[in-house]
Amino acid sequence: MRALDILAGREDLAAGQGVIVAARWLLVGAGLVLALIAPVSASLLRGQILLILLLAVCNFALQAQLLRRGSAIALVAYAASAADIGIITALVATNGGFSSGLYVFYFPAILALSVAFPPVVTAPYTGGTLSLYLMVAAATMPGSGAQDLLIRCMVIVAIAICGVVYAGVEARRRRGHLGAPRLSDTAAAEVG
Amino acid sequence: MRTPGLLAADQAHERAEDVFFGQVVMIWARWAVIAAAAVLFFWSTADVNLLTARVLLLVCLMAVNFYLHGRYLIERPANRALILFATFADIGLISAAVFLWGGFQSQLFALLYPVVFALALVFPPRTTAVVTFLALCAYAGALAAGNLDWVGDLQQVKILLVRLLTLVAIGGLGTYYWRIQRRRRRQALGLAADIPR
Repeated sequence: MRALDILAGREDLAAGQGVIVAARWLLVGAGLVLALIAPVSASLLRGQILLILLLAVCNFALQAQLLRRGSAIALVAYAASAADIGIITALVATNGGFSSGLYVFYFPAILALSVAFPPVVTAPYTGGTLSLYLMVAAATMPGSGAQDLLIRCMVIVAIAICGVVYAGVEARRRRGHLGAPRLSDTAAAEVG
Repeated sequence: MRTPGLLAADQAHERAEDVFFGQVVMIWARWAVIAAAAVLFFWSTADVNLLTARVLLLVCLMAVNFYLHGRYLIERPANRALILFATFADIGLISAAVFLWGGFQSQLFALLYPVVFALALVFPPRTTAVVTFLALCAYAGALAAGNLDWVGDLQQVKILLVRLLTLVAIGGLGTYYWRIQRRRRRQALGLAADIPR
């Protein structure tokens, strides 16, 4: 039974890995374009480009693994997602902390890991993300910024909850197809 | 061997199941919006009359979501048209709040992300694309209707670009995962893996 549970987790991870890789390509592409448009300073640009290129190389390795239909290695996937969160935090920190608009990159990153990882992994990742962001933002926050900071953190949590709830709904639906009855035609007609 | 007619019926049934089972995600996303609205109202309002009016609005929002959540819990969820209407209302309210409370500087635009994400997990890609586009237009409209001083600052325009790009990405990633899950479900059922656009 435990082996089956672990297998189901690996299948979920394999299915969700594509979303994580796609979210990371978005971060690489958008980060590169935004860094190159009107850079603030050469040293900042150098640091940002280095981080983004490093991320691109790592993501290429994971993308290649997906293309070869290799099974996702859980530890690598977890480490890569932790690196995403770390890099986004570094970008936010170097871009002004609280005043940086780059915090919105947390949203796709949290989305991707919430649908790919089991809830027991998603929860500490979300908590860790909030802690890192709060550390970076609180240090540079103006006196009137607490409300905005709270709303940003609430949205990060909301996205994680939506992803976890949906992954759970889909897991139950797949299990239902293997035995329990599907939605009745009458109910389907009411909803549709 | 499934006939095309049977396959179409299966697909229609599957779409209804998506709405039936998936709308709980939209309900939770709306609770997040309501919680954020509560924080905003209680935190920033000092005037008693204004606070009363805002609390009434909050109570209305909560009543609507209690109704939707209650229907879901008794396994009689709202239909497709009603939840789409509720999503449009969410987007309209968030955009209006952005316009009224801060314009470009307002952080309330972030509430659009869970709304778009939840919708992408429930509706087919075409519907998601249309609603995401409408959300972008509503937000851009709210900014355009307010103070436009920030337009001259390239760094601010970059920030706007990041916001719009990530909102599109949230819709796209949600749709991508929706397709992955549909394929997995169809494999479990032994149905054809064709996915409607």
